[in-house]
Amino acid sequence: MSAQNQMGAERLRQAAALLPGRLREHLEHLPEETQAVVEEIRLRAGQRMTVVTPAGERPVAGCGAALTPQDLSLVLEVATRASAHTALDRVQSGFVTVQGGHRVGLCGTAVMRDGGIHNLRRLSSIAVRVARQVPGAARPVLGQVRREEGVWSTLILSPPGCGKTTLLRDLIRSLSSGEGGPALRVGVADERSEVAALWEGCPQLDVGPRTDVLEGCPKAMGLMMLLRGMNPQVLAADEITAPEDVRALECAANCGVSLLATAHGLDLDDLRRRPLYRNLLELGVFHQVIRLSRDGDRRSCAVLTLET
Amino acid sequence: MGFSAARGLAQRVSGLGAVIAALELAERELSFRLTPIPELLDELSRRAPAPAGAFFAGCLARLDRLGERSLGELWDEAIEEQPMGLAAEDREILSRLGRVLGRYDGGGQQEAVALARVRLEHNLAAAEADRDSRGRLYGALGLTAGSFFAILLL
Repeated sequence: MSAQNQMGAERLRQAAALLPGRLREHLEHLPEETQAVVEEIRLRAGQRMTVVTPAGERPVAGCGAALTPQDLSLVLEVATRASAHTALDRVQSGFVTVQGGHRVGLCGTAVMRDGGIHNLRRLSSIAVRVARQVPGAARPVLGQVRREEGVWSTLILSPPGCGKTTLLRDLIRSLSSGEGGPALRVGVADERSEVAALWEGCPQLDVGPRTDVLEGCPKAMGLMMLLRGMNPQVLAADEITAPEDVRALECAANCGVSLLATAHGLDLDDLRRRPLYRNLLELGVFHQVIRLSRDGDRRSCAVLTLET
Repeated sequence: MGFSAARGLAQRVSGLGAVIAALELAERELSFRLTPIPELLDELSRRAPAPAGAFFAGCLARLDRLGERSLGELWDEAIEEQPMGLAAEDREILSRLGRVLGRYDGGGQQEAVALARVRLEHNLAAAEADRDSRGRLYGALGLTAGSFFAILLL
């Protein structure tokens, strides 16, 4: 078994620690090569446990019993360390990040208060997304992201599931640890705890030694706080989705900070069709776009320089 | 036997007092710091008066089995191991608290702890009255029975 497969299987075992023993043991009996590529563990009340791999979603062999709502509650109890009151803001956003950076997505009956979701009363399904980092994922593009003095502002573009966040994280790690050039201070606005996945202050995923992470607040606010307080050379944010994010990126670019960000989209034409991204591209804050695509198990990337 | 029954009444009073003091601490922790449950149990195991401190230490020690069993079940195990002299009705109130701890927002947690505390305070008042009346009776009975056996042995 390759070192990468071993690491993948280890990540699954770590994520599976959230599950009651009777479910966990079925995952432990999966072939190691399957364990290495499991992307998600799906738990739905009344259904059998399934796993998502690059080949699709399938039931776990031997796990015949339907899950109960109590099974799901137990998973959430472990995920929040029996402290839902400390994780309520994350429960309200629909997911909880746990030790190791794994993300527990939640569905159920929402309790509404003041027009917003206050809590989930009865869980109906849980998706445990196994956090994976791919050290070296940025190597093929690092030379095109670095320039003589710093970094070209770069937007990473792809449909969901092609590895945008993985590439962003590894770019941050590479720049912060001085691969391919001088080490740079990187500020990360990690709104959904997906890039660094802080756990008790420590990143659970390697983002390099000179990286400052601000998580849990809206990206626009986080970018401005990092800009004011941490004197970053590079600012990074995952999934630009709101006009405020665009304004914050523009502000940071005007302060001379290089930017790394990601966006959902098929290609540049797809981006230009949407007003938010058309505006972002017209502002000229990005020098280039890295477009990721996936064909089955194969992932590829292309670097496109934007006209200014 | 009389002395033993009197001691049981006194232990219940002392156990209830200790648990109530611990719950007051818990309310403050949840109100000011939204303390996570593992940290809260640690805090209570060190700061709560005996015998409640040992009960919370027992809960904390069991937390590494969270996931195999729910917090409520682990909490019940700790009550069984460390009954603190409490009567069945006191243990039931404590057990019900274990089933809601860690499941609601900060306000909900505080309310649940406060409700348990108020109920236990009510039980404490009754237990103190019981100790003062029946305790004296049991003590006298113990003394009488002891004297009786002493006379028999002479």
